[in-house]
Amino acid sequence: MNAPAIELNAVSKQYRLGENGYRSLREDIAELFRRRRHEPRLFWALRDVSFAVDRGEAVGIIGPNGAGKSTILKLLSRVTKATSGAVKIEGSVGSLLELSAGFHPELTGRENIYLYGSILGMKKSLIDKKYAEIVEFSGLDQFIDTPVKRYSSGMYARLGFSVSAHLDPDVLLVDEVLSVGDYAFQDKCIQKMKAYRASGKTVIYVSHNLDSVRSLCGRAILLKEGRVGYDGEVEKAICEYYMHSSQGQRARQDQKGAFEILDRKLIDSRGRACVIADSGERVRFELTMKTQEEINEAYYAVFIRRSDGFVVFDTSSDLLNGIRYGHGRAEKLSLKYELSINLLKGTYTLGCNIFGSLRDGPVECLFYEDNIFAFTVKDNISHQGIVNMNAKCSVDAF
Amino acid sequence: MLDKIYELVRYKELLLNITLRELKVRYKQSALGIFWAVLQPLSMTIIFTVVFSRLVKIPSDGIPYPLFSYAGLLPWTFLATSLSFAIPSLVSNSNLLTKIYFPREIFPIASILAAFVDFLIAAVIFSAVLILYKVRLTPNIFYIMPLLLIQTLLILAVSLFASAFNVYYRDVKYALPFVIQLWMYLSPVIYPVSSVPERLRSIYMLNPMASVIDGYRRTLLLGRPPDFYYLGLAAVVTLIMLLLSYKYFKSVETSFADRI
Repeated sequence: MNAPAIELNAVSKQYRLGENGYRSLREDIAELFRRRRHEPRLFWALRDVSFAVDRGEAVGIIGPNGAGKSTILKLLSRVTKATSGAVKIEGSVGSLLELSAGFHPELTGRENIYLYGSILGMKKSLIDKKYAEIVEFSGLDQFIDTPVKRYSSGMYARLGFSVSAHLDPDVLLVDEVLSVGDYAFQDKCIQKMKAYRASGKTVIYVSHNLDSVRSLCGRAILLKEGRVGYDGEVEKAICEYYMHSSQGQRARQDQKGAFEILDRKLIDSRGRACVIADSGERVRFELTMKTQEEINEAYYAVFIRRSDGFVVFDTSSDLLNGIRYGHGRAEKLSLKYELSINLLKGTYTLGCNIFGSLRDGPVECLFYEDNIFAFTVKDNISHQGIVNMNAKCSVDAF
Repeated sequence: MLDKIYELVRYKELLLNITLRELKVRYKQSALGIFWAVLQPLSMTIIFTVVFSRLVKIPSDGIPYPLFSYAGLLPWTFLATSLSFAIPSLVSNSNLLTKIYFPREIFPIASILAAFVDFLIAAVIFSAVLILYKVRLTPNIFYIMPLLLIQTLLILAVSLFASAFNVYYRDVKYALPFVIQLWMYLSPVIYPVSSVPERLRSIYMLNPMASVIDGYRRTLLLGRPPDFYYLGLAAVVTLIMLLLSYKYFKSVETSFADRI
């Protein structure tokens, strides 16, 4: 077996916070004479991160802002050095950058292609050879002799991406390039990266666009506060990510203190706790709780949201059974919902609302949690739309 | 250290492109364009001639003052332009520095190369002035090669150190114009070396620019060889400075992206 293309061994990276090296000489000299040294505040961007990537693998790196994703890219591209640990890379490294950082506004598109190409490490002969392809890919043929300061931001990004997309490194680092450009161009970029991967190159892809990670990568690494939170299957990593982010900032409202939640479960048709469900599978959601007060007129709602926040389904016990419940104080309750996941591929979250009346007051929301579970729906067919309508099709000649 | 230099050689195409960018950008959207490169030392020469040979009489070793001061201002402008572009170059390219790896000394070196092109253009005008004044050239003129080399290495030494230092302490930016001016008064640009008191001469000549400017005047205007003792001293001082500053640059280079 070949040596891995990338190997990180117990890598940590520390930054100094605050006036990070931007001090003036006067302050530093004053520092020398001060009795008590001013301790710089330190921040670990990465702690003890280890992973290896084989040649030909496409690995997505996901995680919330500040988890250390960009720091990993900086280490891989040799822009910065690890505080401790070892970073090993086999072969040449190319960076596909978010923006055309290397462009000079006064130069024309053509001049910038050559400049930026050489910044990225392309030889002039290679740029000459690929020039026509680059211009065609960018779709900026008409404007190629215009100074890029007259370009729109979208044109800027397109030209930048087009140049770097024609690099030919062994390891390609991609940082959130898809946040710019129109839909058609984004699609072009994804196709380009897929072609890279297909040709046996190693791709490291950092993105918040989880759908693109899903379509491009065979493996994902979830970073949490500078550590590897999960490393493996893309879907699991994405679910972990949802769960993780929901714990921190779960939209939650139970200040009434009417319920104490004892347990929560999401179980698939085979009785296992589930993160991944097949499209059409029947799953069960269970919430065990204890009332803290006497509650009347209670009813229970659940809702499912798509990753973009769109509510695909919302129902309540009130609608389903027409019953409103009354509970005494310190009663244990078990809420069970069965749902058919007639949804298309993607990541969804399940939330819950409980309404009721306390001390004969008006019926109000007593409990609200937006993101109790995250789960991924698997489907072998790439349908478009929102729901799985279990389509069957036949064409008969008669 | 040798492998670092070898790496720089591998990136020569990038160096060339960054230099071209500096040149193209500098004079884009300016009406006079590259003519500015000539205008700067030329106008200074005129002003100096009026002030220092008409109003205040300053000795010039028997050389016509315009010629005398132009021969000093030309290399001086090369140094001043190089430093004022090279020293802030790392900070002004921080968007690249924090994203892509390549030898970082490319930025200061490209600034120096661009200033060198300006210098060559201004030198063409200078040769016209030499003809105008009917200066007789001798084979000693070939000594300008080592002079130019020492000067360029000196500029490189100062640029590498100060550009890296500027990443950590922006004080450099404020000190720069003042230091360049101070340095000019400490170099024989306006006055000849001969007017420096003999007992101070050995300290005065520790400044490599003193030997270099004096050398240009001797070889071009007087047709004599340079003062070899002081030129050797300048070469030694320059090489030590270059070695130290390149070492410093390389040792702090890896943290540029974090500290910029």
